[in-house]
Amino acid sequence: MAQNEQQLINEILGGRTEAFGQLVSRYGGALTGFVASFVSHRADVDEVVQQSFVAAFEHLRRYDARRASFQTWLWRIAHHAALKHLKSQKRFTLFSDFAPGSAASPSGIVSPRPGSALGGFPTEPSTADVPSRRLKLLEAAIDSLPPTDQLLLNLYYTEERPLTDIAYILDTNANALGSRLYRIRQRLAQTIKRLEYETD
Amino acid sequence: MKQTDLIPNDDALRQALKRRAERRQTECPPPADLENLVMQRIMQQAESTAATGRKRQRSRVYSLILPALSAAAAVLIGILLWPDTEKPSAVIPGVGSQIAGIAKDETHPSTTTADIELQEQPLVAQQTKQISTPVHQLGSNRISTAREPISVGEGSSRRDETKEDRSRQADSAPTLADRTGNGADPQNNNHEPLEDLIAGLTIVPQSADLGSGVTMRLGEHCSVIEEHASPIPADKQALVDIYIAEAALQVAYQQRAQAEALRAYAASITGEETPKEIIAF
Repeated sequence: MAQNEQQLINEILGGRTEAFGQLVSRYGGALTGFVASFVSHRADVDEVVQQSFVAAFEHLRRYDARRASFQTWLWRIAHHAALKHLKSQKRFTLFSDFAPGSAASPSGIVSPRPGSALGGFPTEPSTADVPSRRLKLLEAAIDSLPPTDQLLLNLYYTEERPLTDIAYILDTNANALGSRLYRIRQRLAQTIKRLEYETD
Repeated sequence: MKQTDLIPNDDALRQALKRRAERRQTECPPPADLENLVMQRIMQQAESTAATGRKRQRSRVYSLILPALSAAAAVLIGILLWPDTEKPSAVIPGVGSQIAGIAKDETHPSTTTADIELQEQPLVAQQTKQISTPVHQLGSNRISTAREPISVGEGSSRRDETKEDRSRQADSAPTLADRTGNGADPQNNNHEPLEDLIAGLTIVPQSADLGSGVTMRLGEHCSVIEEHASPIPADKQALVDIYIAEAALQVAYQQRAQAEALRAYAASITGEETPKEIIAF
């Protein structure tokens, strides 16, 4: 797969521009999910995904296969593009834009509690399992994190990438990521406690 | 419940994140024509980059050529306008070679100053000397002394001359009537009539300030002679002053004309238009 990918990249660099469409179809879905993990608005997600692919095409000559895989390199571009786009829009979305009654809203959500920073939080104790309730609380707490922390959690726990890859994507030091993960989990604990207090 | 219990473990986080990602994928599915959209943007970007590149290339050429041309024009203009006191000598050939054998007269302060200036401008001194020669014909005793170059000690030697020597010289020298008639000195073939002297004038001024300087030099030169001869008539003095000033102006005009010619030549090289002079030389 990697060899085919490298051949495809060489063809694109040789002048066969239409071959880049194969890379777009190959990584389009995963890249959209990756960007959506820390960018909330649909319009922003689409824009960031397209900007990321265009930037990858423009800088394809700089890609070094010895340093990182093409996906990791593309994720890095997408991270920078997302931050740049959100800064230009002056919109650092911290929370999920759940609308009450929408198809996207999770079950059991009636309406955002007045004064609550989080939308979609259940007003009454759910009859579901505690773990389920705690998972919802945890989801809500994750939504309250800054986009870069959400991205770090997604890369580490969902995509299970090594810290070196994550450091390359986020353009940071790998040694600092461990302590950063611990601080994120402490913040989540505080947020869950506050949410439990508000719902009780 | 302990604080540490509240910290989500890895499993809890993974589950929460997974559910969250599934939810986000439902909310934000990738567009079906993502490939077409991306390729369209790439093509548009390439076209705009090509147009920008052409513009940058043009501006780069202009930014390189124009400063170079400006620098070359500035250097040429600086060379042309460079104030050089020796320029007249270089521009008008033969001027610097006419050096009269003028030396200092240390016994007379004014004479020393005049002679120094005359040494700096030998031609002026020479012409002054020549012009003053026929002017001072009133005093016959001055003829022989004024004709010869002023050398060292000559003034003092003149000072040492007795009154008898002067009277003897005056008696032997031709009178003014004889001189003004044919303009020739029977005793000295080097004397020339005033008209011939004026025709042969090639005075080079040392500076733009001609009047006072020349007058000063003339005055000082005359003061040296005045010691040994009768005073210069006022009408003759003015005539000499006027003629020297006119000759100096002619030289200045020639210099300016040559500078204008050089400037025009430089402008023809750089392609710049030069303003035409109102007064033609």
